[in-house]
Amino acid sequence: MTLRTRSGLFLAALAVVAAILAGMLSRGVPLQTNVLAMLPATERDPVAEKVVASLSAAIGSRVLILFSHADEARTKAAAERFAAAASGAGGLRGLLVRLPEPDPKLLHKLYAASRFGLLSEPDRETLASGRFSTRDSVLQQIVSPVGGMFGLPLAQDPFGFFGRWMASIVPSAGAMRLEDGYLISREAGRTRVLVLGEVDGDVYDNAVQARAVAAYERGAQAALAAEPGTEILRTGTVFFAASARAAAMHDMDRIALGSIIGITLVMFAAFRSLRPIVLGLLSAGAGILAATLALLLVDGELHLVTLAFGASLIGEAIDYAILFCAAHLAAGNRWTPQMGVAQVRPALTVAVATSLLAYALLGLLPFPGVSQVARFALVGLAVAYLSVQWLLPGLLTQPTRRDPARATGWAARLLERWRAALSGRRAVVAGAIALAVCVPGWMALQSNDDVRLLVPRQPELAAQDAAIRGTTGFDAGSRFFLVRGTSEEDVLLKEMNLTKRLRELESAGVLSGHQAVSDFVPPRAAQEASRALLQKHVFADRGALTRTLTEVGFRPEAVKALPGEFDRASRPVTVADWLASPLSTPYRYLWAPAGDAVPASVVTLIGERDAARINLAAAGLDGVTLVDKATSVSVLLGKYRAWAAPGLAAAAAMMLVVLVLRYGARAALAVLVPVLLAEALSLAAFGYAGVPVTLFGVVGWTLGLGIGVNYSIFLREGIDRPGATAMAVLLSACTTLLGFGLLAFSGVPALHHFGLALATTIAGSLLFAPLSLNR
Amino acid sequence: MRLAFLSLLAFALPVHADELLGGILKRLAEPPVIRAQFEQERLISDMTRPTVSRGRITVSRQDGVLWQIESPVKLALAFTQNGVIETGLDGVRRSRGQRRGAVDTEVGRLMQSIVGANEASLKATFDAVAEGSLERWTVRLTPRAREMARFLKVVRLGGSRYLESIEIEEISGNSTMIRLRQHAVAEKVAAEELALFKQP
Repeated sequence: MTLRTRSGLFLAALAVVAAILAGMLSRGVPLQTNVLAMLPATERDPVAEKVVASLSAAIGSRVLILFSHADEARTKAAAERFAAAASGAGGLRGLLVRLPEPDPKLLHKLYAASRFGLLSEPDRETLASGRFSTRDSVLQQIVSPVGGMFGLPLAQDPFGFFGRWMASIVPSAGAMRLEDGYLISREAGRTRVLVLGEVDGDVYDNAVQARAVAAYERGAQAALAAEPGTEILRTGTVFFAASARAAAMHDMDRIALGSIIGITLVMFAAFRSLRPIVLGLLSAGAGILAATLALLLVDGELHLVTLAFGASLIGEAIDYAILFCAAHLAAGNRWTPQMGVAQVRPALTVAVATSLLAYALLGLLPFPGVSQVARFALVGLAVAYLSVQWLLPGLLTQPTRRDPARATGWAARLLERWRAALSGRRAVVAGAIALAVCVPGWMALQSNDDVRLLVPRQPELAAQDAAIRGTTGFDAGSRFFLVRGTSEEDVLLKEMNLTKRLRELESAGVLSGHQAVSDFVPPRAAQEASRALLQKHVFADRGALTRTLTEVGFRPEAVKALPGEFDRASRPVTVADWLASPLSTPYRYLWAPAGDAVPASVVTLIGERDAARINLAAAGLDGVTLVDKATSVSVLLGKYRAWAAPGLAAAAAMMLVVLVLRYGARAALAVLVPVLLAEALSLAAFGYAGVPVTLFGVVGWTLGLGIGVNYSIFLREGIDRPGATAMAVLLSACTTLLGFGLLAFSGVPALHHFGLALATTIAGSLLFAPLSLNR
Repeated sequence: MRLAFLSLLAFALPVHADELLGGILKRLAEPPVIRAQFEQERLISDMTRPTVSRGRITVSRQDGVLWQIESPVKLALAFTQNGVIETGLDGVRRSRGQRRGAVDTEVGRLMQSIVGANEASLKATFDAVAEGSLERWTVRLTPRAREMARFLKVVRLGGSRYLESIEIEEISGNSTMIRLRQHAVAEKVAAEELALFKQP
């Protein structure tokens, strides 16, 4: 097979890959923006994991939009205009400006047959204490100016038990109140109206996100056009996810563009020809294309972070092509492609072997996201390596017309001078001083495992979110209690043990509220106990009851009906009744969150103010666990970060084995020393700059180890002329810095730390690389 | 000439009525604390005769409305922005707004806006029409929002310098007539009253 046919075949294969990829992408980029999907399972309990997923879908699809204007009618009009313009074309659905008028019959239908088993906590206590007096109680209802105004007629609920129970289950809406169906608040001369809605589809689907955001913008524009001066605030997972996605795409565009422009300029300056750039991008492009296709085929989707990382993989993949082109320049008119391949193969093989080793180690981390990044790099680098041997030779057959000695002379002189500066006693002293200066930096290192490193919250959206939470009290956090039992009744009983403690925390001001099914449907045992209390303290002596009620002035026929109702209405309300009623619609996700086969429920928390005390609420309660995905993730990040230090040492040790096999022990150490020094300085720099050590920084150092050692290997292996080798190393480092290093400017903290760690390591490795030439 | 004058008067009347309402509410809201004796007659639809109760009422701009019933049963009701706090005859207290349920919060606000003559919340909740003069007036309140209109038909307030009568007609047929007298103005609520406003 000739060089040209092999190149042709490689190009043809590449074209096929590109075509398949284009076909796949034409149906939309399957880009995963859900951070949770990047992480491994954190909960030991698979049920908890499942519940986290179903809850985040249920709660994540909500959107809240708050309108505010000095004029009440205009506020309402703006909200109506918004809903009219935002609905219809998809994106958002169920936009409710005015809640439908609740049907009072619904409450009656659900609870009437069970009402004597439903008592509020204070009433249960009063009855159980034996202090209850029928006469005083009924008189209090009658003389209270609002007694019996809202619930059943007084004759049916003369002591107000049922009315108080009903009042106890109506949730608070913070400062908002329901008025003509509007959720409204009036403060500081402004009227605020809240509009509730849902995302139409999976919140983490890009197309759905785009449609939802477009619908919001359409609505907001229409509202502002109709009612200028309206302030519109929004919150909801979809807005955060969409903005994170837009920021990542923006980062990627910027970094990719910066990489390509920077690399092109640097390469043109060195080679005075566009051909090496084209070859370099072709080689890197082959790697990226193949890696993207391979991962899409295997995983079905690409993670956001992988994509941003992939854009910067250009930086390393191009190194191999650079070395090949440097060999071409060095050979002058003696050039044959076969000779070029033979010259670069040893250096490239050692470099690829060490890099792949470092990436493979990353791939072992059980983070789906990190492992995808590592696999992307493995495939990309392997294909780039093969392209240098199979694709580039056929495309670079003509020798250069430049004089090799003059073209690479500057690099040879630079290397010589720098090598001289780094050798001898002076260098040892300088190194020792540098390491000594590092020590305080190392001491100042701090770690950070906060999950928010992964999810940058756009400040403006976060401020709007805080404002809406402040006004509405809808500040549901991400923590919840999972209650599991052997049956429906068991779950409700266990839930009640928990809600009792939560109510104490609510009275103490630690918590604003909670949502639990057992508040709407008390366990059967509790309903029977309540009924027994009423039987004992109210309905036992029916003669006395009738006398008391008649004495205070009730009509005899109304008085007579009551005991009969008590006897008839004796059926406990069940979860099935509740689920069948439209009243349960907003809360249905609380019940059987892991499917009907698993008896379980969820208790959500509103307005947590003291996490530590709430953590203790489940202590000692059977079947109740606090699920806190964010903390679990942070703990996990910390675990892997702690794990990474020995991991880094292991990677270095494995590289040392490869190097010792090739160069012998002493020289292998000399090859490894530059990158180790670079990492030591990089760590110290993090300490001095106050940048926290995160798992993502550690990933950067791991990759830096793999790439940084390449420069020493290239110098050590050499190609035809020392100047050409030096030029190749310099260009490699520049392109890597322009590729990965630009990630240091990313707005995503995770990428920022990664880029910073890598850039400093690469810069250091380049500076110390000549040390590897010391015998 | 006379016709012109009359039509001018008719034209001016709504403005005048609105001004009157503003004047009444402003005057009612002047003292930081007002105390009065009250007598209430409440007729419940399933009862044969009205129930008369007596007690004291304290209206505080800052804290809310405190309703202390002394006969025929002892009961203190503190209506605040956050709900209703009941203190029973045996001193046992329970906050009906414990979970800050929307119903109790509404009741607390409702009573505070009616009895406390809180202009902003009154106008937000009711359509208010004033008649008479600043010296002898009546204000008719009809609920604006359908949620309130389900329970409350009309509230009529009457008074002169102070609020002297409150008449509440409920949709259920219950009606309440409250007369206030022996008004006294104070700078702030007494310590024992303040205790009744506090959450238990």
